[in-house]
Amino acid sequence: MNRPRIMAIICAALTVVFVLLVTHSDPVSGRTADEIAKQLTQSDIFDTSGLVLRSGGEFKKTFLLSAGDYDGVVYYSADSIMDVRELLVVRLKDNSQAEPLMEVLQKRIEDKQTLFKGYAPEEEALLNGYVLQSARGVVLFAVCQNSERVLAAFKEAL
Amino acid sequence: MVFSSAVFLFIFLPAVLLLYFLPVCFWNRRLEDHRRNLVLCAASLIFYAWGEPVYIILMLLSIGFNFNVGLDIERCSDDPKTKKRILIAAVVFDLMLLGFFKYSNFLIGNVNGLFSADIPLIKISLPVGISFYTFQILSYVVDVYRGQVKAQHNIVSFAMYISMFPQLIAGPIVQYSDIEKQLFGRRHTPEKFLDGVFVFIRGLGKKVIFANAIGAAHTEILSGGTEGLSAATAWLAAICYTMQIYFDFGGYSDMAIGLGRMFGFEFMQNFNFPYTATSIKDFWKRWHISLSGWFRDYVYIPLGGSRRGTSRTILNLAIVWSLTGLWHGAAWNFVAWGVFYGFLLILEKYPLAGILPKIPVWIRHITTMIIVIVGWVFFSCESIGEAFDLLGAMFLLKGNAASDAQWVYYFRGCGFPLLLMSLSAFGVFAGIPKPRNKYLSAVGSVCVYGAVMALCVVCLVSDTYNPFLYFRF
Repeated sequence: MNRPRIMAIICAALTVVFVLLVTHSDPVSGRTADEIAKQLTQSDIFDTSGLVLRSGGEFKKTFLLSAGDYDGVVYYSADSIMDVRELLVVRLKDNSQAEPLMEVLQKRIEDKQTLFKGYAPEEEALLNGYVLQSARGVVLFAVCQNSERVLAAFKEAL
Repeated sequence: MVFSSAVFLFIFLPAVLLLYFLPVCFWNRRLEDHRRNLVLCAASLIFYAWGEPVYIILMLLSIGFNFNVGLDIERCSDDPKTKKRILIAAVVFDLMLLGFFKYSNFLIGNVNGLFSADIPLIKISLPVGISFYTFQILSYVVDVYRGQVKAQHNIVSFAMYISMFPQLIAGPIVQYSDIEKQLFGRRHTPEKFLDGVFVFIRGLGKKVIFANAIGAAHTEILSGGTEGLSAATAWLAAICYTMQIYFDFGGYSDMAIGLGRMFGFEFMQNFNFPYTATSIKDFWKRWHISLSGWFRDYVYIPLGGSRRGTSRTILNLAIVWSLTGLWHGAAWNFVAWGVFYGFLLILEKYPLAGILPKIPVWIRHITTMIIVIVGWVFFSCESIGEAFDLLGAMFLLKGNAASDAQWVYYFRGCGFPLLLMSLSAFGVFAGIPKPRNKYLSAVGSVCVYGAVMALCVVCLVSDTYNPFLYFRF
């Protein structure tokens, strides 16, 4: 057998090994956005009282992004403009979606921080403690009181 | 990393250009070409790894596999049977990789739906650009088999061809035969570089100024779903998407072509004013030219093209257009979109072949545009059901109103941008004559493109709505 053929076979074998590793090393969470959000909201970690579960259309209106572009979207926010709490769980279709989505969310939090700065100290504190995390194909965005616990619960839920 | 991001525009691109044009091996042109290819290859791998740190390994293995396959095919040039076997093995392997990552969950979902089964989905995400680079790889392997090109013996040059960052993620699909001679000895001139900068800025403007603005309008119009939409509002949404996808993808292609030119490459044109088409066939000669060219050269013609009688031609067209739809995404609405165009092309080729030329051009143009807009509805919607809902609203089939105050409100917001975009899409701006004086022309271009670039930067800084529609393919 000639050298290129041996090298091609080695590359093919390594590709198969890589694909097996990727599918078995579990880089993408097997949980749906609904399941992850349910785990966060059913326990006392994220209090959804006073928050409304929003539709895909309302998600689109708020973030100018189509829910259908993702594998799943769960979005809670308050009706009152003075209540800054919100929870967003997005399951991505592919990793390239993470960067633009996180940019949108980062911009949203920065705009809100500017809006509430020096005006509503409690809301400002919540906004400063926001959580924005992308892990295993899922993005979490949360503005709430116990953000560290929410982040830990999110990682566990994946 | 996307072209229309601050990291790319202000850090990555200037750094790559600096390293690329640094005259390190100025005394030896061949050596300098090697060095520049190495810089471009390394930059492309960093560009890809920025968003896909895991799947870069897959791309490197794929490059290694197909590089060696090319060499093996060349070695077996006097043994047609072995040569064919190697080609078949390579094509099957490459397509299986694409199929596994792109279509396995679609297949599982359909099997589960059809047979009420509960097969778990595979936990994988789609590697960015896999559809584009797999097609480039296939074009190389097939062309080496056909003897149309020589196998590439330099793995850096081959890796650079596959991974070249200007066109890696969203095309155009550059066939190896088109670029083989440019891998070494390509010309770099200040004029060519400046022209590349202008083409890049033009593409950036199309994307950031036009596509993003009209995309936001489309998203807003349909944010409440299709329920209660008047026909006029539904048409406005469909027209907004028609413009968004052209300026988004066309803009990206211009940026790719411009960047290529800065680095001395000449990529093929991917769009040629598609919305001026007067038939569906004409539209597909002007839209995503590199993809239709690929399917023509590597699927339609090998299947027999139109040389094997009417029924076989119809079958070939049906296969090619179903595959074209499926290439765009693992969902039935994309297949429906492909079949829709296949059906129309068959109609144009046979029953309407004698009638179409007798119809006035302006009627053919309007009809083509309406068909294209309807086609984009299948493309833009998340499911076939949603597409039919929107079409129902557009054609007054849902008992909805023809017009309402909502459409006037939206039209006031996006009417002027739509007018500007239509003039640009129909080639009106391209027809404006340039000053005959070279100096005036150059100063004018620098001023216009400088202003466009400044406007793009302002938009990028102030707006976060910056999706690239063709990335997901």
